[in-house]
Amino acid sequence: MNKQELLHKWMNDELTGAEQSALREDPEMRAMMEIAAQTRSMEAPEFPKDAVWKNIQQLNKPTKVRTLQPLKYMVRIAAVFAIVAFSYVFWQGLDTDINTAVAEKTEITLPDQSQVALNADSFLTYNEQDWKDARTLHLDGEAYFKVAKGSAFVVETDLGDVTVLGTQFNVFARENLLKVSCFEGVVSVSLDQEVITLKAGEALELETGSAVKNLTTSLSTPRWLQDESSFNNAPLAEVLNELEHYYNIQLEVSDIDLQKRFTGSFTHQDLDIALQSICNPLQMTYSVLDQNKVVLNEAK
Amino acid sequence: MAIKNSEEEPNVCEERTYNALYNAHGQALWNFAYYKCGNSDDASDLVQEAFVKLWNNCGKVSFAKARSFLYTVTNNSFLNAVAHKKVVLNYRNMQSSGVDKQSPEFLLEEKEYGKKLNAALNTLTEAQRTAFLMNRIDGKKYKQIAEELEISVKAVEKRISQALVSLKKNLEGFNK
Repeated sequence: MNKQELLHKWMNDELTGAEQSALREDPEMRAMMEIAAQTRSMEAPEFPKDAVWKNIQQLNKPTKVRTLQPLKYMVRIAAVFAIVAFSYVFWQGLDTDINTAVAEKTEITLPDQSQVALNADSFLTYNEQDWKDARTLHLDGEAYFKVAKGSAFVVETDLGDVTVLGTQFNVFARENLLKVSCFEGVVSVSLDQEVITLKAGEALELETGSAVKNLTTSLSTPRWLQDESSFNNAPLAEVLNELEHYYNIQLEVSDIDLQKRFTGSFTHQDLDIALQSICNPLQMTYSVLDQNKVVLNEAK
Repeated sequence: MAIKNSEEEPNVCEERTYNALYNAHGQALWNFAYYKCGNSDDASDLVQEAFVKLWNNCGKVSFAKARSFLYTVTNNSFLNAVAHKKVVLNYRNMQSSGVDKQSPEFLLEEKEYGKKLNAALNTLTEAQRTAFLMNRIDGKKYKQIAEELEISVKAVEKRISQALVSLKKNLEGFNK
């Protein structure tokens, strides 16, 4: 260990008495040790501890208050937003929602005296305040409209908008299926790609991913208004789906081909009759278990 | 059973903790500032500023880091003030070159030797003097000085060696 290192050890009080004496033999080291020892007995001037602490507290006070202010400020901003939001709701009015449960049907009169019959398990939304400016409503489900003459009347669905001036028409919009039937006047259906015009007695059917089917109807009002659902060469899956909207049941099918075609109708009034009307022509049997379970089987 | 491996750290934002930090480090920090600038009022200002900054940043500075935060802030404020002062000094020096440099006064019993030692300490660079006096007057070990100055122990050794060599040269003939 060289002398410099020993000197540093001594400065850190890590040297034994013998080592110190050895180090003192070197005149240069001894001179430095003298100086260091002399400096050891020096003092810095007195630290005005209390005065400085007083100043610190003085300086800290206003900053402490300031740290609280952003919160107050935010509360004020939030209050302004709340007032604006409330007045908007009062001014605009809330949307009117009409919801039918399974097996429930309802009739509504819109602010312009247009009539809507809402089929089971359907959801309709419109804004009463905005109605005189824009006759627009959103439909998820099925409804029949008798529209009073006036400006454009728009039914928005997930697959496309149905626009009319004054007419009677039915819109079916469930999941990925849209069916529009026109019973009076002219209906225009705007889809993603095209606009289709339907005259009285015409109908269309659109399934996501497939082409639009043009159909006709000889009826004067949709069948469901007479508590009946009717089908023309429809897949069994669609028929059973529809059945579940009118009866609170859970269908179980085991070995049945759901692509089987069904033409006919079923009533919304009596589950047994309805099941017979579906099962008999397709050679199926059914059994109603408790807890609203219905099992369908191929007839033996 | 959950094992608690360390006690929860005190929060610097708590008045009690903050006050305790002042009691623990105020004196040494003030000395540190005094070795640097050689003026009691300036040292007080630097300590004040450092503690106010600690309060304003109390949410960001952990209790363990508080000491080194105080020393860093004091050092930075000192450097800012000195950078400003240097301009003033240079300007003054151009007019009259015989003006005294800033001179820390240290209390020493033996008057004659004390005056000479004082003068010799004033000729050290700020870095040498601070490290040397932190060891001599505050009795801090090199390791602690290194932490507070945020330099290596080797650098502390170097500064103190330089200080001793320079002091020895300046006090030549005075020592027996």
